[in-house]
Amino acid sequence: MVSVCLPGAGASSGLFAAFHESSVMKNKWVKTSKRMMFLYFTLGGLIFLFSPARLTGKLQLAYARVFSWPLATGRQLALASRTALPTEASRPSDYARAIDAHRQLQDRLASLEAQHRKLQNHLANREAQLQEAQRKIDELARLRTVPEWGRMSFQPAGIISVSGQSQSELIVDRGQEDGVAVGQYVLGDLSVIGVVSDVSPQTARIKLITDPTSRIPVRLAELDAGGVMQGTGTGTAEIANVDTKRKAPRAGERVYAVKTPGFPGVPIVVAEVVDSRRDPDNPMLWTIRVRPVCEIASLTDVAIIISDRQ
Amino acid sequence: MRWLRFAVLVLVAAILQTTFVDMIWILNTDIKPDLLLVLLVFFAVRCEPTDAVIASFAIGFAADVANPATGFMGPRIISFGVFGTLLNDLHNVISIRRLPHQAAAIFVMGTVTAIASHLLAYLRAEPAAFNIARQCFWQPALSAIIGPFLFLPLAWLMHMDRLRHRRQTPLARMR
Repeated sequence: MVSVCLPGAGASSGLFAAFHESSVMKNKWVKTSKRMMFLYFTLGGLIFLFSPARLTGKLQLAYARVFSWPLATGRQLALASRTALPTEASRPSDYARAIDAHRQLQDRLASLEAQHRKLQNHLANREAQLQEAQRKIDELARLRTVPEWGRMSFQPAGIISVSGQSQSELIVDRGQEDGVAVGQYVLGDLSVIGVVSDVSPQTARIKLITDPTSRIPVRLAELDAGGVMQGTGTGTAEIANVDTKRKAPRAGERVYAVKTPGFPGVPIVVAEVVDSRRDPDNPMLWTIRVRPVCEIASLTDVAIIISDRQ
Repeated sequence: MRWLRFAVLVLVAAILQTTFVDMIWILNTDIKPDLLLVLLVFFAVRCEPTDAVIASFAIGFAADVANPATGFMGPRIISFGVFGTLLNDLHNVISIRRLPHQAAAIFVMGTVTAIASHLLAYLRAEPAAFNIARQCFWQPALSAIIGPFLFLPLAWLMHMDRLRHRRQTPLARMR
């Protein structure tokens, strides 16, 4: 038997310390064996394991909210370090100048690439809107077309941290107090990158489209085919059982998220085709692998779609 | 055991794990050392048995809160707690004093806790993607390379300059 004494405990071990102090009654130390303590903690771990995710998720969100400043600052520094070159002061001056020039060019290139990606996605969205408007005109079903984007409002949010085993979740600095709710779609570089999966008063968790539990109905515009896109957890997603009407999916083809509750009335680009393979049992059906059209790892801000109808 | 220092240390490590450690990338951004794993091995080797149990579960709790591998908590609380306690028991039999031994302990602990966390996630829900090479080899290997060099400042910070003495055998006690 081992006598246990916990003089004090901090934030992280507070739960365990509180648990342990419960065994101390009126200033009398109760002897707790190592084996019993191990069993108690294992039982506590199992309780956490089988607790509803929304309860334990609040704990994780509370941590992100309390330490939002160091987490956000650290992420900004980490992102900056990926683009910066190491400086070497001992090099000759011309070599140093060349490095400086190279670094400036790299920064400029990264900035231009980001702008190019945004413009491409913007163009893809506009093309989709144009096709949708054309279809409506052709059907003569409606006399006027109201841009659905105008009915939506967007809530900009800063990314606090990236989490998840396959980096497939984001925690952002906007929550219930800003109108964010579970199920709302999230845009990054004007493309859909995920859905709000959990929310606290001041923070929210976004499940990315590459998360294995993410399922979004999508449509391939050029093939005029639809399906459900499911994340693979490896930075890509798959659309299974797609009937492409005897057309082969082409790499680079755009995939659009389609109308669902809480989603704007127009399609928004979500991914692009990487490759595809036929279903061995039914050669008419394809499984298509896609990847996000946005470089999620380098994002610092996102926009959450908040419907005015809500 | 200085619990206040321990709490601050775990908290700082948890924050660094999700921020500044991203800057240490060798092959790609997914492969990075696990600071909480290094802490787990350090406290399992250096603490008294009861303290080691509390420290192992507390570090697992911090790992689940700070960098959740799945949408829920629990897998790493249990895996860190169980294997941290086992390592502490094992240290009564096998001494983990030299740098290569410490590195090997970190590597083995990283591998077994990764597998155990993934298997525990099976109990709860559809598991997340599991990259065996990355999570069972590269991350533990990188942690094992860096970990033993962190033991010295950690020992100074926690005032644990000496390794926990191995349990004496009856023969030794008679002498």
